[in-house]
Amino acid sequence: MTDRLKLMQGNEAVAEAALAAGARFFAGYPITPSTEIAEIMAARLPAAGGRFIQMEDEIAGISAVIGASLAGQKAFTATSGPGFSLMQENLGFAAMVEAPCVVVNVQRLGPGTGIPTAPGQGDVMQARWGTHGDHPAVAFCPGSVREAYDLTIQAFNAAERLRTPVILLLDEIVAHMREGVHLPPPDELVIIDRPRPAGPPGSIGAAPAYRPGKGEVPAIPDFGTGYRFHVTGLVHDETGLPVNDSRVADGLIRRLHRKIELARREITFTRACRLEDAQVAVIAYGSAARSARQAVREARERGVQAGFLQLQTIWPFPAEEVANLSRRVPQLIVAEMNLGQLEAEVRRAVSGKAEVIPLTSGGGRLFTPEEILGAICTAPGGRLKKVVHQ
Amino acid sequence: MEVKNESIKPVEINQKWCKGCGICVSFCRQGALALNEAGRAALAHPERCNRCGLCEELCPDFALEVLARSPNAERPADSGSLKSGELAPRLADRQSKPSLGEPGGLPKLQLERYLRRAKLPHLWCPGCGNGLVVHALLKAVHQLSLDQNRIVVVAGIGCAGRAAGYLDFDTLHTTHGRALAFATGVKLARPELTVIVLMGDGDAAAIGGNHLIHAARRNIDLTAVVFNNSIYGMTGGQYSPLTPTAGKGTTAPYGNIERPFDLPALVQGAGGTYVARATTYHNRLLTDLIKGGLQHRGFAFIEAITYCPTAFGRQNKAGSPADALRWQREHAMNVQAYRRLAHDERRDRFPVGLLYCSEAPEYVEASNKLAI
Ligand SMILES: Cc1ncc(C[n+]2csc(CCOP(=O)(O)OP(=O)(O)O)c2C)c(N)n1
Ligand code: SF4
Ligand code: SF4
Repeated sequence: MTDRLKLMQGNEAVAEAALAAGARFFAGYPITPSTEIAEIMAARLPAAGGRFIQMEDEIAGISAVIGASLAGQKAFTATSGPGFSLMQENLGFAAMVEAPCVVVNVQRLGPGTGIPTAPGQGDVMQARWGTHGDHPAVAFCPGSVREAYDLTIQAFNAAERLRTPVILLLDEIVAHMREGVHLPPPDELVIIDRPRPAGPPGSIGAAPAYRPGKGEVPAIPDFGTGYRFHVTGLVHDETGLPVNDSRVADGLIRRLHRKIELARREITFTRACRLEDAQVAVIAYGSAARSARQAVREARERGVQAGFLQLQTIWPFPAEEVANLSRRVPQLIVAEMNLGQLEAEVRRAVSGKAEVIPLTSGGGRLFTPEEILGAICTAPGGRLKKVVHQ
Repeated sequence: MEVKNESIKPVEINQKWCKGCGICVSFCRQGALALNEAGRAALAHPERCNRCGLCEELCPDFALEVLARSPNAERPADSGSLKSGELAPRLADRQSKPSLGEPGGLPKLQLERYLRRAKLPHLWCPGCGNGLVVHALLKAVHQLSLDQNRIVVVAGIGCAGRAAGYLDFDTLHTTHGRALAFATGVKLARPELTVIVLMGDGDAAAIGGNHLIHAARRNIDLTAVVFNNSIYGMTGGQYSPLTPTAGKGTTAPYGNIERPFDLPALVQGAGGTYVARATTYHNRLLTDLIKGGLQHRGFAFIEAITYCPTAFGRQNKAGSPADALRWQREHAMNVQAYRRLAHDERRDRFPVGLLYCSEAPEYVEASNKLAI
């Protein structure tokens, strides 16, 4: 086995994983702290038989990505808050036309221009609800360089099999930190390609482009392969052509949600530790998960029965996992670098079965393990068993 | 209205598609056509028809077919055809055969080959010029014998953008203003495909203006056709960046105080290498220019001056669809003749034809070279 131990940055891991997942098209616009991804793709794609293009803005970036996707390429873009805001209209368009693509948003502190070089987790709800209309969302949130690699692969796989845009939400810390990572050998990677028509144009296998197939996902052809079909962001029927019928609209919107719902288990990634006997648990994602893990370790050393649930998938929200947790652990601390975005989702899932304690931050810096430890120790579940030592 | 001689039937009229705009009736010099009680075109005097084919060429609804048409029949002096010699020489050179001897319309069945029949009649208003731009586009595709399976039409949002849904190619109806950016992705992903981009004037020049200048600058091999009706049609008549100064819009009730773009100059300045303009009246010229654009390697831009009787015409008292076509005939001027005029002689005339053509490295090719 070749030694695949590498020292790399989170952004680098995203770029490498994208290539490994089969991405051959990148269009974007530079913005800190995501720019390294564009730079690496610009350097690497030509030799890999792919295309890189720096567009005139992020709207153009995601537009070109969707165009390339419909022409059959695995395509992605990378940006940060201000650019992510510009992409919102077309993110919804991609969901509506079922164009697989990956949008990387390396979160920085916002709103506004904020602090471009400082981390934040303020775009959690934007990732869910940023584009207009009642659309589904899939978003993954890595907490380490290795997770950035793995979740990028998963993001492309989910985008392809579900034919939907997938958002990869990093934060500045995960994007810029360097860690030694063992990359999985390429032949161990599971790479998924989108469903395509089962037969040539005009054959029985060639269903109308938007007829739902396995898992409610249509096997839409690629442009230029002879099927001659229509793609529109307007409400459309199975053929892809627009219709002005509220029943068709209702059916389409529900199907777009349902196809994600049906795949929920396969796209829900969480990591649990020390939850067996926990009296208090920390729920965290992204770089906050790193501090939380450390805090739980220290709490355990002090005899506190603390545990930890890391959410790698944040959308669709892992409500089942959190609900299960709330049946066993009476206190849940939600640590996030915003003023409580996922906390509300946790409360909804818990629905009163456990106490939910927010640990929030305006962003701009990583939570220290001590802060989270403090929260653990002051939570009733933590306090009971707390070993006091000043 | 009675059809006098059933045995001679020089013109076939699809009553389901005709919207009774009156263009054909107004332009038929022989007086062969009239509107019937239902307000649809009918062949009132078949014996008068000399099968010149002009009605077919000017019907925005693909509703007329002149059977056994006679290309040599006497036609009005300037029936939408500027002589090929009048095009800028580069375009004429590039064309394999002189285009103006050919009939301008396509025999019916061939036109329908490129249409999604089930979606017709189209949603455009009676007399809307959009159908005429589409007609010219399809003639261009047909005359070049392009492979229907290897064409992707990318369109923006607006009345013009709706064209994509009627065309039997791979078609992509995008978001408002973004068609060129989507098309850039399609073209880069599949360089062997012919990518045609259809946009309204607001679509291309307001919300999409940034993409327009950058597509031109890159000189990427796309053929962009702007349906310039000088107004926001779809949203009901707000002024656009192409509305003339003093023109009325629902958001310019006192007359537009802004100045309109000179779109060809803008695209040329941004680096576009094929810049052309025609009107819907000059349908053969429009066809030729689109053909030239499709053959051009690089960013080809064709501005089609078209008329929106509903959202522009009413507010601006610009008359019937037929009046507007006559206005186009009277105000458009061959570019070379136009350039010979002194500035003060140009007044309200505007140049049509191939306005600019040059060679420059094409983007996809430059990108190909990186891979080596
Ligand atoms: C982002 C966005 N802004 C506004 C609109 C509303 N809108 C739809 S079409 C249109 C203008 C259409 O005018 P034009 O592009 O000139 O095309 P036309 O309808 O005249 O063919 C506008 C403003 C939209 N669909 N999307
Ligand atoms: S031009 Fe076409 S749509 Fe208009 S009246 Fe004649 S046949 Fe009908
Ligand atoms: S509003 Fe104007 S541009 Fe739109 S379909 Fe009607 S006539 Fe055509």
